[in-house]
Amino acid sequence: MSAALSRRSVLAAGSGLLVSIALPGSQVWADEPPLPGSLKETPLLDAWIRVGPDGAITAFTGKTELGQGLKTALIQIVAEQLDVAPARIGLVTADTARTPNEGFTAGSHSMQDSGTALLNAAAQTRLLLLDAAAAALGVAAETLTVVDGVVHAQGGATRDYGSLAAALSLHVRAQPTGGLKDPASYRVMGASMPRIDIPGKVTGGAAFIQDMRLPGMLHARAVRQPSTGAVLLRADTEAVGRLPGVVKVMREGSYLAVVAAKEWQAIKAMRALAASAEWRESATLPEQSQAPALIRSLPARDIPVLTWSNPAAPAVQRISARYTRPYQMHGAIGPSCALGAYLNIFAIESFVDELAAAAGADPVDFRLRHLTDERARDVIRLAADRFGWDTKAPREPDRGRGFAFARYKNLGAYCAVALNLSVEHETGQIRLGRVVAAVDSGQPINPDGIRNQIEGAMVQAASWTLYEEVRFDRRHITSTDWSGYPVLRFPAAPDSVEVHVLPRPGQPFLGTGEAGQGPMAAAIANALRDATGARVRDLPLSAERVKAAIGV
Amino acid sequence: MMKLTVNGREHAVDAEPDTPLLYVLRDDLGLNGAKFGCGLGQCGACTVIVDGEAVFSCLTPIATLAGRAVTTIEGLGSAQAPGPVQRAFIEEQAAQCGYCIAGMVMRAQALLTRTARPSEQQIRDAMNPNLCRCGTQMRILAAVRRAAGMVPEKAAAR
Repeated sequence: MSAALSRRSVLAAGSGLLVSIALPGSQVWADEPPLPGSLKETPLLDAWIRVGPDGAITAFTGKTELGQGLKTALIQIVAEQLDVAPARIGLVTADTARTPNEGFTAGSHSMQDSGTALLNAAAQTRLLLLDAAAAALGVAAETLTVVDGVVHAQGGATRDYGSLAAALSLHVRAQPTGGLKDPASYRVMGASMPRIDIPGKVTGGAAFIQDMRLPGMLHARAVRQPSTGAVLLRADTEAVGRLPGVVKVMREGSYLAVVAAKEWQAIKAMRALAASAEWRESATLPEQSQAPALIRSLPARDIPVLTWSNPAAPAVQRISARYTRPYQMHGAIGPSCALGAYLNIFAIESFVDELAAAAGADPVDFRLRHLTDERARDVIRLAADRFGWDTKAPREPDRGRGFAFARYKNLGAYCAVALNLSVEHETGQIRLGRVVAAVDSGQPINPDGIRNQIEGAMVQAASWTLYEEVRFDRRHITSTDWSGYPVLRFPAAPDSVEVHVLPRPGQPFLGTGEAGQGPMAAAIANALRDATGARVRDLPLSAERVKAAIGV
Repeated sequence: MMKLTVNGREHAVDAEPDTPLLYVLRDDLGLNGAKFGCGLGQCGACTVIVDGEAVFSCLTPIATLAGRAVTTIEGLGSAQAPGPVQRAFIEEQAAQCGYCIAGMVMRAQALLTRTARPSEQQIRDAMNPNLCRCGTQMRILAAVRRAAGMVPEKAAAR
């Protein structure tokens, strides 16, 4: 019995109760492929999509909007598959009482997990609604069309989603496949749509946890330990307790905090408390210069990410190199944006350039020669083409161009970056010029959203690559503010950044948010090598380090 | 009681005179736009305009504001009727997490009030005090150019 047949016959019985009893049995589903995305963990359609008797459509996701444009993209998916205007879809995000539990919103997983679940849930919901309409109208489902939530038969008869849903249960298990529209017919998925969260964010709307104000809310501030492992000896909690507005001073072991009626009162009390505190500090950190050697001496565990073997011809030349990155700070200004591990790509893609140089090959040609994945080759060709990568272009002193490619975590989006830069010879300062990226995220939902994410990933990675390094002495992290932890500011932003999104109709969604970071880091290092002849393998590529490497 | 003029309205504020403007805006007046970022004037998330100048509200005690006009992003427009600079940010989709964006808009507004047609270098220099950790700098620059009328409509179409 095919899945589709079993569902249709069950649905024909027209009872949600019957469906939910009949379907969980394991025998029918034993040979089924796994459900796509987060449907695996949350298989019932009405956990994802509800259609009210008034036709109101609500979609549910366990992922949350972090400014990656998730809400907009999910609404586009549901709108497309249900044939309803995006403005008519309500979306509930990450509500423990109402939405599927999809764990963290991190690691560029939201589209693969939640996007895929909603895609299939919405498509199958549409199928059920069409089946119900077909039964009600006495016509074949294939002859029906849907315009903004209203089902039209060829003879002109209509049924709206609301009335159809009222007589139908969506409390049914999703199917592994089925119901998806022909990608060639997509009008909402794949078309750029302005993000729904941006107007509020540029006009002072409540968008962040900091914007939540509760009746009678107090303000607390903690006193930070001055150094790692510092032990609190004493603090004048009594005097601080008498300061204006202070409600309570908390001390638990070496943890100190204050609670006050107003925020500024809490800050002043926290400062007074910090000033009164005496600590016993000890040297718990290694010398910063010794940290890499120390880390290498610690027990390590190898985690295979991908095991793959393709024996090559015996090596004619053996090349080895070691790449390092310093500790980098998440350093969010407010809430969070992702700090992915990008060292691997920096190392691999720097090394690919070293190999290309050893082989006397052009870096782009070399990559194309050794990659067999056509999608990888496509983004490389597109980035090189749009950049105008020209092996024979005339060279200028202290100007260079670099290329890098990665598939995020070997399973997410494909991204290739080509860029040029100049190096100020006297200072070692790198100045980023034109940056061109190509990305394959599978079926794009919101191309401009993808561009925004990739642009952000590349500019953020430029900051890590050029500047960022947490400094510490034997007792303290000494990078405690933006003066001690410089990051990229506007004057150092690239001259231009452009991102080209490959159309991949109907292909599975691939995690995109962090895909630009690793390639950007390596492209900068490769361009630095191209500009100066110096291969710098230790991050950051700070002016000081570049100056030392080019020997001025 | 201190009298403060914010977005053209006078408010009587019950706060200690050394209180930085930021906390009065957020906690006493319930305005969300200006954000606490570093409290040190190093990131610009708290930027508002006082008498036409962009200032760090986290470092500006309200005692210094008697008789002066404070403008926050709420004073530039609303989501339904955004002001020109806000509209440019929306059209360029110049935000990711958005935590820095109110400060960016206010910094840009102060620049454009002073210099209607800034050069690229003037824009970058003026925006220098404000940080964006999501890497939205290219779109923010594009939004400032657009607000200054420096983006031809065709090139602006995405």
